[in-house]
Parts: sequence; structure tokens; C-alpha cells
Amino acid sequence: MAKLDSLLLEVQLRPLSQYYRLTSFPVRIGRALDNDIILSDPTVSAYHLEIDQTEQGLVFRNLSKENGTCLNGKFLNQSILPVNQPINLRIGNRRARLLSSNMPVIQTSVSRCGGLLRVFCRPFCAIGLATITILAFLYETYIQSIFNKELVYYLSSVMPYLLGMIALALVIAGISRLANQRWEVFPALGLASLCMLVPHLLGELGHALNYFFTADWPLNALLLLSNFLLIPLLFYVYIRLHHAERWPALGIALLFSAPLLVYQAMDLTDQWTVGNEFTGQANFNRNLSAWDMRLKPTLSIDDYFTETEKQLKSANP
Amino acid sequence: MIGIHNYYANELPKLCCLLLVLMLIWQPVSVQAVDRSSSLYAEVQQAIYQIRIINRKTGHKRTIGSGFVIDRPYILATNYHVVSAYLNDPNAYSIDYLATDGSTGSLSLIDVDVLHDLAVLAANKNLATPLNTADIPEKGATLYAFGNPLGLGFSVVTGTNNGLLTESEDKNILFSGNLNSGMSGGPALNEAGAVVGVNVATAGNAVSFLVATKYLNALLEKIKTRDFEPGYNLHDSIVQQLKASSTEMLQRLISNPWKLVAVGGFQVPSRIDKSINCWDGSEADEERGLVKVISVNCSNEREIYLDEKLSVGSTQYQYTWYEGEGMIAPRFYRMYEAQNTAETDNNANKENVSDFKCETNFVKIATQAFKMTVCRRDYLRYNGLSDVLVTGAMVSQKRQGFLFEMFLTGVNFKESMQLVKQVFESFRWQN
Repeated sequence: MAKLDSLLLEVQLRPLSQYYRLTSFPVRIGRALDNDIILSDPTVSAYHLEIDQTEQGLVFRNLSKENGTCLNGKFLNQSILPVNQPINLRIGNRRARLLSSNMPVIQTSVSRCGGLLRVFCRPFCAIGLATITILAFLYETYIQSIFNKELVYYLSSVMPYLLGMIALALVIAGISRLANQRWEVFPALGLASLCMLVPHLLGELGHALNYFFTADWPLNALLLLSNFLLIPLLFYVYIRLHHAERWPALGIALLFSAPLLVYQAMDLTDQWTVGNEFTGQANFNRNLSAWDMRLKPTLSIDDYFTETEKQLKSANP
Repeated sequence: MIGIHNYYANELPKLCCLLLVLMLIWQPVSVQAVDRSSSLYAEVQQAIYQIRIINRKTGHKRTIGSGFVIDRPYILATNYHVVSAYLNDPNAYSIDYLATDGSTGSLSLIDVDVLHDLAVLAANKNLATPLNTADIPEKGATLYAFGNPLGLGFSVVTGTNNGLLTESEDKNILFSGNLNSGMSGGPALNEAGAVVGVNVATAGNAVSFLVATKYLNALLEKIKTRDFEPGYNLHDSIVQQLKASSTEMLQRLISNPWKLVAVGGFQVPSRIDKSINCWDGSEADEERGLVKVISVNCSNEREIYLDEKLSVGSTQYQYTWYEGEGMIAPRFYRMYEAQNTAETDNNANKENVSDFKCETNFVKIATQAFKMTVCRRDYLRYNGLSDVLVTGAMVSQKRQGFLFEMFLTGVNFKESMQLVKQVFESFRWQN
């Protein structure tokens, strides 16, 4: 059993919890100003919980008639417990734990900033990535145009992308500020850049693969991947980087990407609905590529028609 | 179309003078014409009928056209497109006639010629003295078209014979007079009151078309051998007519001597038949930026009417050359790919045709590699007929592109492949 002076009440707050060292018993906790420990939470009763020490262990006595107290997940009336592991309490809506100072602390979370993750934490890498993203979109607007224009034209057409990237970075940084009390601007910029650059690159890759296989499925598969997996994955990696545990990180990543995922799912079902309708239009791969890299060989005219007539014996699949 | 517009803009003053002169000399001629048309009307009005397709459920008319008594007192001729709704669903519709004196009666369908848009009907009693037929008179002769335009009442329209359109596939008579819907199937008579054509179509502005009577006579001859009895499956007969016409057309295209014309770096066949018209489709340079575009569209401009949503018999093909000197290859190909979007402008629906099935392969045509797709869809009610779309792009050059597109409707797939193959084999690369 722990010594009298080594017992602690941890009241969980963001971003850092509060600790009260329990030195003399009984300890009365509540919102009234004559308590030993005052919790100003509105869901806490004036006199809420009393903790006393006996030979058998700690005696927890619920005093609250309103929201009550939970002890290790069960509503408490009066209970005696030894303190050999953390005791979870819910006082009103406020979470707390009773700890002993000799309990082991969890491992220190070490900053993981190496390899590809550097784009999230090194300012230089983040700025570099943002620059690459802007250049990629600049190139995109260049090859999309068929007119000779001044550089300033291409720059102006890339501005909306830049604006979008900065806005996204600010939102991420703002959330980071709320959660961590830190702005983390460069990691946010890195994440925003990746959110824009990766779908674009996957699109390019899909296009090349479409041509390579003379089919539409590679791009469709990559788009599906990009629409449904990319954003949650990027958020997950980003949150993990900020010392979050695996499961909470996954939860938060899914929570924040949920609106996007639902939107994508709606879009997908719409596409399926439209895809099943009769359009009267022919459906085949129309991609063209300057590099002409493909699996299918170039046939002679005779072979071409032999193959075509073999495959198209009738229009029924 | 733009060319024509410009022509008129430049020639407007001259045209005005011409019109003035025409008006001065027109007066006596038109007075004479009105005289003959009124006497003709009195002579033939008993032989002219309105043909109506009646929905059996409501008892109301769905389509109207005109018809006339020919060959036998109880036999009427009209257009196929007037009675097509009945033929496609005989259980839902019936055919009846309305005479100039207001009497009505029911009709039965004896035979049709879909290629020339003709139908022959029989009444269950004698109607009137049959009209005679005559050969087409000299160009410029006055013709009198009879019918019931828009169901407003029996009318006569005076116009000019402008001869057979010998280059087109249906070889109709060009009639410079205002035909209106509802007059379809009515007779166009010469001064003597003999039928020289059957009203069939109009392009507006007094440009109208008549079916030459020799096709009507041929159809009547065929029916005569059966003693004017229906007696066989009209739908099967239509399928046979369409197949024979498509086979004949494809064979003609294949065996014609082809003249090659240059479209960018290629020499390609352009007008492979008299019935096919080619137009330049190149766009103005300023709209195209760094890309040079040369385009030729060819079409036989034919539509064999089958029903409201379905027509076949069209042959269209298009060549487009793209050149982007001074562009990097990915930039050129981005534009090139965006142009590679062949779409079929055909309103066939899923009751009529299957989905397209396509096969894409790479083929070497005139030393260059093409990514070429052939698609076919089959007609569900016209067994053995398909629509064939052939479309592809040259992929072996970095800054030059060539798109080929061909769309044939209502053809035998295997026969159409012979034509396409011959087209590919005729390409020449001249760079």
C-alpha cells in the first residue's frame, strides 16, 4: 500500500492535467469553496466525493445527489479499494485518476522526424514541398494551354491553387493550435502540400498506367484509393507525429476525414447510378500519351482486323 | 454554312435587283399557275386522302399524312414514315383515311419500301378513280403538290421541278415549293394531272423533296404479283430491304476508284462515292493557338427513316490533322487527347439497340502506329444490322497527330470491316 504522502489526484485537463497531492485524510472534493480540493466544473456538486484512508484501503464515498461519481466505470455509493493501480474516477463529467507516486510512468514519446516524415517537421522540407507542388500545378497549367502566353499568365492561373494550399495549411495549423497550443505552421504547410500534390501525381500515374494497359481501370482504382484512403492516411501520419497513440490517432484522422469520405461515397454511388444508365455512347479507353509506352503490340492491318472480328463477333458481352 | 452566308452578304445588292426583275416578269406566270392549280384540284380532289394513325386506346390520331388512290380504286399510296408507328406496333394503332368530302374509313397496310419511304394501303371499298403516273418532266416545269398540311385542310402547293438528285443515294426529285408536315405521302402532279412524285421531305425555304414514281411503280408491280394481298411479314421484308441496301452501298464504296487527298501528313480517300459529300472542317488559326488543324468531314447525308427515334443508312467519316510545332510533346498530347472524344450523334435508345462493345488495338497504318478502336452495337429488332464506330489516333509522332473517325449505321458488321480495312490500306504517309 502506498504511503500517505505519495497519493495524487490527477484531474484531466487539456493540454496538461492538474495534480493534487493528497496529504491529509479525509479529502473532500466539490465545487463549494470550503472543500479540500475545489473543482470549478459546473457538473460537479457542491460536495461531491469524499476519500478517506483506512487499514483496508481507500474509502470512496459519493456525496453528490446530482450527477454522481463513477469509480472504474461503475456508479459509486461507497467503496473500499487498495491503490496498487490507477483508479479511474468520473466526478460529474470531469475525468480524474487516483495515482500513487511510485507507479511507473509511460515511456517518453520521442520526436520521430526522419526519412519521408521530414516533410512534416523540417521547415526547409515543408517549404520545398510547397514549392514543388506549386511548380507541378504551374507545369499543369502550361501544358493545358495551347497559346503562347507570358509567364505572368501561368502564375496567375496557379494562384488559386496557392490560395487553396495556404487556406488548408491555416486550417490545419489552427486545429493544431487548439489541440496543442502550438501553431506548427510548417508541418501544416507540408500536410497541405501533400494533400494537393499526391492526388495530382496519382492522377498522372493513373493516366500513364491507363495508356500502358489500354484500359480505364488503373486510373479508376487510383482515384478510388486517393479519394478514400489518402486524406485519412495523411492525417493519421500527421497526428501520430504529434505524439498521439495509434488508436486515438486513427480515430481523430477518421473523424476529420469523415465529411470528405461521406462526400466521396455519395459521389461514387452517383457515378455508379449514371454508369448503369444507357447512354448510347461507346465506352473505351481514349487516353493518348506522347511516350507511347504500352503492353499491346502494334499489329499489321490484317492481324488487327482478325483480332477485331474475333473479339466483336456480336455486340453481346 | 458560313460560306453561303458570306456569299449572300456580298451579293445582296445584285440579288435585290434580280428579285425586282423576277417580280416584274413573275406576275402573268403565277396567275396562269393559280388557274391550273384550281382546275387540277377540282379534277383530282376525290383521289386525295388524309392518312391518319389512330391510337386504339384513345381513338385519337397520333400522326397524320396524305395519300392518293393509285393503280386500283381501293389502293392508296403514302410515305412509309406516315405509317411507321402502326408497323412498329400494330396492336396499339390502326390506320384510317379522311376524304375531302369528310367521309372516313379504315385501311390496311399492304407493303412498304423503307429505302424510298413508300407505303401502299388498301381500303375495304372502292374510293375513287386511280391517278396515273408519269415520268418526271423537264427541269423548270411547274408541279402541283397536294396534301393536307398540318391537318388544316386539303391544299395544293405550286412549285418547280428541279430534277432528280442523281448523286444522292435516295435519288429524290428536288421540288422548289413549300411542302409542310401533313403533306407527306401526297402526290405531286404535272400539268396533265399525272403523278410524277410523292411528297416526302422538306429542308425549309421552298427546298423540298419528292420520291420519284418509278419506285412507287416498282413497289406496285411487286404487290400485283400477290394480287394486292398483304400475306407476308412486313417487318422481315424491311430488314431484308435494309440489309440489301447496306450491302449494295458497301460493295459500291469498296469497288469505286478512290481518289486520295492530302490531310496534313497523310493522303486519305475523301469522296469515295458520288453520294458522299465532303466539307472542310478546319478551324480558324486564332482559335487554335500553337496548333495547326486541318479537318475534312464526309457524309452521305442519308437517313432511312425507321421510326421517330431511329434512322439508319448514314455513312460519316472524318479526318483531322494536328500539328504543334514549338510545343513540348506532353503539351501537344494534352490537347490531342482532349480532341480524341468521338461521340455518336444518334438518338437510338435501349429499346432499339444494344450497348456498344468495343475493341482497342494498335495497328500500323501507312508506316505509322495508330491506337484504333472498333465498336459495334446491334439492332435489337432489325436482326443482322449494326452500328459501327471506328475511331483512332496516330500515336507514333511527338508533335503531330491524326484522328480518324468513321460511323456507319445499319450495316452488316463483317461487310463494314471490309470497307474499313480498305480505308486503312489506302492511307499514305507523305512526310
